[in-house]
Amino acid sequence: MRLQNDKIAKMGMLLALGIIFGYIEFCIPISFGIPGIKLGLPNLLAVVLLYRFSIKEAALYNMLRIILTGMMFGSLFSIFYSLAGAICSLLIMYLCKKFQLFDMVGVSMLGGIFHNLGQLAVAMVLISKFSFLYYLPFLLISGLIAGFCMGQLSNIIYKRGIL
Amino acid sequence: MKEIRQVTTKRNLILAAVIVLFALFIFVIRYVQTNIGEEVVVEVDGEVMEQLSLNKNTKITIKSANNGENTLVIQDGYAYVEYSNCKNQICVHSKKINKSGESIVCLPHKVNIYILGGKGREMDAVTE
Repeated sequence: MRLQNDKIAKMGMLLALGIIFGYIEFCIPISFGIPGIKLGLPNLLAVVLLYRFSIKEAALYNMLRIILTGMMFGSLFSIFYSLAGAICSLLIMYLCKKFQLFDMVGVSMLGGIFHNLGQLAVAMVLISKFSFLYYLPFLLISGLIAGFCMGQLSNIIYKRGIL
Repeated sequence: MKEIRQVTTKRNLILAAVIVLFALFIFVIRYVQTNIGEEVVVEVDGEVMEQLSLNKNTKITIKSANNGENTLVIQDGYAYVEYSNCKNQICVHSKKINKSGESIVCLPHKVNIYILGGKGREMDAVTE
């Protein structure tokens, strides 16, 4: 894949920004007594990348970001979790965008939800007797809210044409 | 730059409503079917280490691989993790559990603490 210079610069910048967002989230863990509830700031950039460029760039961004943030602040577990969430979320966002099912906010909402579902699936595999039905409603709602917020933000960024 | 499509707010609202309803539906089913549990089961790396009564106040230290330590407290019919030397502290921030099927998980230590007993048990068999 040959990236143009402009694109390389932009993606490098976004990657750095994504890592900073990840760090901010790591510093302020919002705890509601349910693990896994997050704002998903880094995913905001994934949505923007998906719309501005394509799924390839968004996937590259996600992968590099997760591996780098995972090595810096997390563990092998957190890398697996984040990867599963990111892959699920990116795939569903790509499909929704491709078939024009929803606009950016809707795509982002679904992305947030599927991010959580992906992580839940990993948890189910890793932990036996994991009561996922207990967590499911909370994670659905939190994914929805976070996705909505991030969708609005990415909409603004995209419309302003900053990138 | 490509033309940005009109915001399809109605669609988004329908999507949100469907998901909220679905979540509520699961929550209600879960709520109706669960009862207050009787036993606290501690699993480390998939193996049952301890089985404690939820009605007896106690405090134990769960040791796991790589010097992992979690302190489990059972008090007034609730179980919670008071201390953990793991990185993310999710288990410590998890809320107190007392209903059958609820669990506290410490992933870095592969520790899974869950409640058994009561009516909700059949339900959990499905999620295994």
